[in-house]
Amino acid sequence: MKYLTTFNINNFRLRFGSGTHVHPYYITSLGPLNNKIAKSYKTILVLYNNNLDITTKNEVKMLTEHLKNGYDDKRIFPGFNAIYRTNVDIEPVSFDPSGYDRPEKIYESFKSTCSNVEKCFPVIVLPRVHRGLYDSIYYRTKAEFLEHGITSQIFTTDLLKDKKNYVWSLLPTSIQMFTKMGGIPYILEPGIKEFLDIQVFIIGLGISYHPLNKEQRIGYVMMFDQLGNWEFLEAGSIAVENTDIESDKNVDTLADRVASLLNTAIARLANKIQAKHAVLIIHYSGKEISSKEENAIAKALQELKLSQKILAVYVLKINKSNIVINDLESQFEINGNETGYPQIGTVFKLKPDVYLLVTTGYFVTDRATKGNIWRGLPSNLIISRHKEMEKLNENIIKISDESLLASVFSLCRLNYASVQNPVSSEPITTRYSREIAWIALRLLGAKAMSKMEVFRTRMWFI
Amino acid sequence: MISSTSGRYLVNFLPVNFDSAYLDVYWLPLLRECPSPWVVSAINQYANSTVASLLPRQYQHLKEGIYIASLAGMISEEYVSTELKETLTTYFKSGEDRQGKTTSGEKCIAELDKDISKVQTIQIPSTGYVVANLLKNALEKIIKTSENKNILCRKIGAELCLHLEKKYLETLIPQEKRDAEPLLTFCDNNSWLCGNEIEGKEGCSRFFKVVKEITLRFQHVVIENITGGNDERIYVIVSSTYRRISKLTLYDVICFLWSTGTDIGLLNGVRVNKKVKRGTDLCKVVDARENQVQLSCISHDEVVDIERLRWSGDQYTINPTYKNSREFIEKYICDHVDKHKYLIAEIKHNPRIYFRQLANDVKLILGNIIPNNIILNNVKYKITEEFLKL
Repeated sequence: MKYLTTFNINNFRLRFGSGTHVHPYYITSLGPLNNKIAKSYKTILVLYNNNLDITTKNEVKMLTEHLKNGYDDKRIFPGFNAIYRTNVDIEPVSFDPSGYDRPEKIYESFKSTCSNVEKCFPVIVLPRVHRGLYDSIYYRTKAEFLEHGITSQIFTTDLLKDKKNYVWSLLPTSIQMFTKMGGIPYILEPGIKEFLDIQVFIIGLGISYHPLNKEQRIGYVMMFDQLGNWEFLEAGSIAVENTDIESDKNVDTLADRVASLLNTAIARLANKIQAKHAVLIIHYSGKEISSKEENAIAKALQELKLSQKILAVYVLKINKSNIVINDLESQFEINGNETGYPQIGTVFKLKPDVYLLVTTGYFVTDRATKGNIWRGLPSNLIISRHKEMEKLNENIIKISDESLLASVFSLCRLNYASVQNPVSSEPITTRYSREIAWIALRLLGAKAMSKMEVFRTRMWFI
Repeated sequence: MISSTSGRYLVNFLPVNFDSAYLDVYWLPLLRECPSPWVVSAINQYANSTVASLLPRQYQHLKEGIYIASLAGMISEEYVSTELKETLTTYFKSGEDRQGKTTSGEKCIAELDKDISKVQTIQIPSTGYVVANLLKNALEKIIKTSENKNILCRKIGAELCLHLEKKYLETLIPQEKRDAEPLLTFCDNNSWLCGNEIEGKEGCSRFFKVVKEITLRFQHVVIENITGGNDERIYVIVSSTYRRISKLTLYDVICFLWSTGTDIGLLNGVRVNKKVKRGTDLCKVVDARENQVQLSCISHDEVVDIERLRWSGDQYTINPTYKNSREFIEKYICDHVDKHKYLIAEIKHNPRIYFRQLANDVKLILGNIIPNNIILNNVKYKITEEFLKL
């Protein structure tokens, strides 16, 4: 194991509508990169349970008012339309008290208030639930709206009452809403610069189990370009019977399904390649993947045929790690006490093709040393390059390991959920595997997933 | 060369030293009629003197196959073959109820019998890729056969996990040094969460226990040396935390409610996990009465007799994550079940504080709970106490 390099966040700036900056919260002054689709929305409805007590109802009204006209201190949140250059009306609407048990009641209220549901965006106020509960009102409500082709934003009653966090949640919530409305808040300023005539696309590949039925899996492929521009999502059911666990048959079936998803995504990508050639970098998460799924991914990639357009496919497996780094020369002190937090972006080489990337710790800006962690242990990722799975045209100039690692760090920078944090602990390509799987599993019954344009084109899962 | 004494970054890696550059191991090719994971599992579970590691594909200079090492110094290939057949027999006997395994077991042993010379002694680097797994399996076997076997806990994957209870820690740490172990102070103040039966807190000690959890992972590392070649090393990645162990089987909870004179109807609305062949079914208690419980599960509804629950082991357990379950637990079983989180926050405050505690933990376990020397065939491995610096 040895120290390799440090990715400095100042070299991974974000591009907004009218300039670049290191920090996402500069969207308030620099505006979004692209609001073309989001501009077509007419109304944002803040939906709340009619049975809420009067205090909470007033807090819902306050949320509506803040989204519309901004927070008292406009530097913190100047209002939705002011930031995103949109012209939406924002109003509260109550839903039937039975909505907490039956999300279809919430949708009914939404539908009855909107003459054209495609031009309305719902912000739904719900009680806070544990994200690890498959059967919770959170997942059921999001699935209910998505089944009707509507993306949604959940806002919890707990957050309404938590005055301090509420204020700071307004901006990140609005960024999520804007993104789900089809807007692009910001992307990365630099991409991988090793090729002139070649476009680089980054793919998030995941397989997740149904939490209650291990024979049922969901596979997904999400696509970004090298600047973090969202392209699309393809997802599909992978049901494999585990009757004969020793058999290779189910690995083959899994591989077929994964290959089919990849091929569908690559066929769809073909229209988006503007350069002469393209290169794909696959990020897949080791979170829920056993050796069986890994073998299936390897087999699926073997079957993949490189076209004249796509010259290479690189494969990176990304895992959270339990390795702890104590930086004895850390510049980050809290209340005058040494912390040992390492610098974000520090990379260690564990062995050939295996790297450790620090994603929480401190960062240095032009003004000061700051941290994206104040208490707890820093997190880091183990990134393994799987050369045996890769497909490379022999004429291609190879991408260096450092550039491949930069693709992971870049997509850790692309954080639409928490604007105070300049680097997420996981890249956006692998971060949402559970949300995608659990909501997609609920849509399987509807059997219309593949036909839902919104499902494929919007980042509904953030 | 890798320096472990100087550098800017301290990592939770303990270097494993060795006294010979090459390790003699017994190697077995992948068998045609016998799934290799079964063979490896049989050896690691039932062999007295050997451990095994599977390499399904060639890796660097190591060929695919099953690698076996002895914990008792060098032994003959015949001895390894004999022990292997015995362990396979035991393994398949233990799994007779599992479909297809008996027939496969006979096939496995027949294949080994056909060609006894399949086990060969070969030489590999002492720090080769498979050695990390052999050392992990060896350490697990050493602990399993020692008087400390109860400290082993279940962990999926390549990690070895140890649970250390308050009473056990007190036997290891002298009185004057006990302040350095946060769990002991915690248990002084919350003894009902550490196994002590205190009046009014019976539910806590019966269903929950806070323990120290130490995990060890043997990690193979390759690094380029100054001559352009590769050096291989083995490290132990060590981590430390605290865990609240819960054993909320539905039957035991019902018995507890009876013993405290509490109406079991209060279980209504509580979420229950039911283990099924395909995973876990999530159920909700719809109606709990004197002799039966009605459950509404995602896959179906069912009525379970209390008598059946008694014999169902941990098939039905309360899922504490849901709000209703949580409220029920805190009201009728044990309040403040999350107190251990303060303990975790204390030692994981930041890397600097964590390493101070981790250094204590390493001193505590090495040579006391786990041996610092592990012998595999002709090589003596030694786990060192100093963390790696980079």
